[in-house]
Amino acid sequence: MPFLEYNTAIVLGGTTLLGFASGVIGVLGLLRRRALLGDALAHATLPGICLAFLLFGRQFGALLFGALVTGIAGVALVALLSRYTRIKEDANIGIVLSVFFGGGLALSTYIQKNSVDAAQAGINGFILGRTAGMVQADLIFICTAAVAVCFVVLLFYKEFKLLCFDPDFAAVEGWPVVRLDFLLMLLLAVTVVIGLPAVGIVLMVAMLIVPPAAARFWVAGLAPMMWLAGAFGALTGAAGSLTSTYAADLPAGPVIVLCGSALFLISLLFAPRRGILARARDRRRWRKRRAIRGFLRILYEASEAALPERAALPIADLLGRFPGRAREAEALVAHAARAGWLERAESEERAALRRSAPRAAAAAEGDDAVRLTAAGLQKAAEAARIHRLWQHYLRTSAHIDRDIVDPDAEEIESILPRAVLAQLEEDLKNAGTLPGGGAPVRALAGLPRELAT
Amino acid sequence: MNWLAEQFAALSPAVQATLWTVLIAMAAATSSALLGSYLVLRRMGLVGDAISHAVLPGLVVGFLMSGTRELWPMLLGAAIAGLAMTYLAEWLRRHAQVEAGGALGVVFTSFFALGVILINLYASQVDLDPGCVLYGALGTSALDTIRILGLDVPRSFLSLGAVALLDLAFVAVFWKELKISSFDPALATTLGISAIVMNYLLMGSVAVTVVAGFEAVGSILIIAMLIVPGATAHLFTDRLATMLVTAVLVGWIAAAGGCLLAVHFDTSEAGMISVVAGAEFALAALAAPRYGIAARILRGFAFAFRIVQEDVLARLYRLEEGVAVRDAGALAMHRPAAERLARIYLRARRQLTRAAGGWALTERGRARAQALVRSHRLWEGYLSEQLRLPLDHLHEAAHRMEHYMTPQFAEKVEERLVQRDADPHGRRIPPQPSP
Repeated sequence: MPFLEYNTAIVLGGTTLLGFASGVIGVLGLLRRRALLGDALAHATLPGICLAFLLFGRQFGALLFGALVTGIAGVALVALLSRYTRIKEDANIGIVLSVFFGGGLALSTYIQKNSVDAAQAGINGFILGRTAGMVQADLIFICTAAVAVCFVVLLFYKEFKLLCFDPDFAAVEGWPVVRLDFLLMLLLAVTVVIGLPAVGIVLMVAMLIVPPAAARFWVAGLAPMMWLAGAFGALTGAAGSLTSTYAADLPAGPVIVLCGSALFLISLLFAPRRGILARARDRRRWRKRRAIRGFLRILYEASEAALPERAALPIADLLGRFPGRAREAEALVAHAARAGWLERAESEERAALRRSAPRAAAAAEGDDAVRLTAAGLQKAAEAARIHRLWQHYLRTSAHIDRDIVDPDAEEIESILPRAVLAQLEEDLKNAGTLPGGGAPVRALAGLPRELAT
Repeated sequence: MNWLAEQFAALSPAVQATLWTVLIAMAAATSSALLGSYLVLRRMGLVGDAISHAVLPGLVVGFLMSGTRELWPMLLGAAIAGLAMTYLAEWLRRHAQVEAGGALGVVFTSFFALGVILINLYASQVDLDPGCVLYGALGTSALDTIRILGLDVPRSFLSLGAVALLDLAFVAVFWKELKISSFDPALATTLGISAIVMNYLLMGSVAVTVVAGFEAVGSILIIAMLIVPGATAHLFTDRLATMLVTAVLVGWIAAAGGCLLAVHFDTSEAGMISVVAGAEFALAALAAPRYGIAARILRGFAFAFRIVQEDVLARLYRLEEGVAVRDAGALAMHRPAAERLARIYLRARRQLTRAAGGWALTERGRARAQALVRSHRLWEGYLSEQLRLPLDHLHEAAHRMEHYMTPQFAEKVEERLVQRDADPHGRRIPPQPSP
C-alpha cells in the first residue's frame, strides 16, 4: 500500500486548502472582533442542512447551500436582535446558536426516524466532521470555494484593512461599511460551510480563531498575519486530516482542532517577542538592570563622603546598605567587578592589621573591601543623579511620598521635559547634593536630549 | 401525598415516563434559568456557552477515575474543567494579549476537542456515548429509577433537583453580593465584596449546573436553557427578582412544552425544548410591553401621530389668526393620508368640527393649539434674544421644539424674554390657555 492513497491525497489537499482559507478569513474576523460570531454561524447551519436533505435528498451541493442560507440568516438575526432589542450581542449569539441548533437537531432526529434512506449518517458527519466519506466531486467543490474566498479577500484587501482597523474612519470617508461587513460575513459563511464536512459544526469556529490567534504572536501587520494564519491553518488541516485518516476511530474535527491547539501552544510559549517565555526573559532583564542601577547608587552614596578621593568600601558595609538579600548583593559585587566598575581594595581595619600583624592579615582570606574605578564612579554618579532628580521631582512637584515610588526604576530623561529637568538639577546643585560635582546637565549615552522635550 | 402517589401509580407506564421526562427537564430548567439570568446581565452569555463545551474533558476524566456513572465525581471533574477554562481564557486575555472573544474561542474548542477524543479513545471503558453527552437523553434517563416513598423516582430527577436547590441556595445566600457585583463590580470591590471571587463562584455553579443538565439536554443545548430564559425575562422587566422568577417560568414552559411536542412529533426532546424556548424569546422580542420590537414601533407611530395632530391644530389656529397664511401653507409637510387620519381622530376627540367648506377648531382644540403656538413663538423669541440667531433661522428650530415644551417650561422661557407680547416676527404670543 503506498503511503498516500489517491483518496487520502485528495482529502489532504482539500483540508489544507480549507485550512488556508479559514486562516485568512479568520484574521479579518478576529480583528473585526467577530471571532465568536463564527460559532453562531456554524451552529445555525444545521437546520439548513436538514431542510435541504428533506427537500433534495443527499446532494452535497444542496446540503451546503441549505447550510449557507440558514447560517447567514442566523448571523443576520444576531445583528438585528442586537440592534433592535435591549439584549446584548453575546446573549444573542448564544440564543441563535442554541435555538437554531436545537431546531436542526429536532429535524435530524425526525429524519433519522422517518427516512428510509440510510444517508442520515451524512448529516451526523456534519456535526463532528468526517473526512472519510468525502468523494472527489465534494472536494473539487470545496477547493473551488476556498480559492474563491481567498480571491475575494485579495480583491477587497484595502477595504477590509480599513474596516478592521478603523471602521469609523472608513464610514466618515464614505466607504460602504455596512455592505463591506456583509461581504465579510458572507465570506465567513462560505468558509464555515465548506469547512463543515471536514471539521464539523461544533468545532468549526476553532478553524477561524486558532490559526489567526497563533499567528498574532509571531507577526504584526495585516498581510503578514494573513499569510502566516493561512499557513498555520493549512498545516493544521493537513496534520489533522492525516492523523484522523490513520486513526480511523477518531472524528476528524476534534483531531484537527487539537493540532491547531498544539500550534497555538507552541506560538504562545516560543514566539520571539510576544511569546510568554520571551516576555518573562524581558522582565528578568529589566529587573536585573534595575537592580544594577540601585546597587550603583548605593556604591556612589557609600563613596560620596570622601570624594573626589575614591574611598575603599568595606563589603560588610555595602551589604548593610543593600535592601535585598546578601546573596543578591554579592552577585552584584561580582557583576560590577567583571564590568570593570570595581577594583580590589583594602579596608582601613585590614590595613591597620597588616601594619601591626602582617601574618594574621595574610591569613585572612580574600579582599574585604572594594573601590570604584574611574569608569565605575562615572556610572555610579549617573545612577545617583537620576535617583535624586527623580526623588526630588516626586516630592516637590508630584507630592508623592518617596517610599511609594522606586526611583531606581525610572529613566528620568525620557519622562520629564528638559526645562523641568534643568530646574531640578539647579535645586540639587544649590543643595550641594548633585552627583558628579555639579557638572552641567548631560544626556545619558544614547538618549538624545530632544526626546526629553 | 398518598392520594397523589396512588393517582400517579394508576397512570399507564408511558404516561408516567412522559411526566417524569417533563419533571426532569423542568428541574434542569430551574437551575439553569436562575444562573443564566446572571450571565445575561453580566454580558457573559458566551462564557456560559464556552463552559458548557469545556466541561466535557473534566466529565470524562471524572468518569474514568471513578469508573462509575455516579454523578459526584463527574460533577467535580466538570467544575474543575469549567473553572480552568475560565481562568485560562482570562489569563490569555491579560498576559498574552489575545482578544477576549478569541481567547475564549481558543480555549473552549480545545477543551471540547480533547473531551471528544478522550471519549473516543476510551470508548470501550467509558459507558458514555458522545451522542448522549452532546444531545442528552431525556427519554432514557427517565427509565433509570430508584424507589423512594413507594414511588419509582428517576435518579436524574433527584440529582437535578438537588442541583436546583443548591443553585437556589447559592442565589439566596449571595443575593446581595451577586446583585452588586453583577451591576457594579467597582462598587462591589469598594464595599469589600470581591467581584473576582463572586465571578469564580458563579462560574463554578454554572459548570456544576451544566453537567447536571447534560443528561437532560446535552452539552450543546444546555446553553439554550441557560441564556434564552434569562434573555426573555430581561425583555419583560428591570427588576432582578422579577427577572429571576420570570426566567424560571419561561424555562419551565420551554421544558414542558418541548417534551410534549417531542413526544408528539417523535423527535429529540433537547431540540424541541430549545425550539420552544426560542419561540418564547421571539414572542417576547416582538411583543414585550416595553422592550419589544412591536412596542418600540408603536411608540414611534404614536409619537409621529401626535406631531401630525399638533401640526394640524396649529395650522388652523394660524389661519384663524389670519396672519401667517404663507407659513401655514409651508407647514403642510405631512402626508395627506396622515393628516386626514389625524383630522378624523381629532374630530372624535372633539378638538375639530366640520365647518362650512372645511374644518374649524373647537374650544378644546383651540386651547391645545394656542399652547403650541405660544411655545413656538416663545422659543423663537428666546433663540433670537438669547442666542442672537438671525430671523430666518428661527422657525425650523421652533417648529421642532414646540412639540416638547411643557407649560411650565414655556413659562420659564417667558420669564427670560424682554419682549413678551410678540415674537421676533412681530406676531402676538398668546397667553397660556386656562385649563
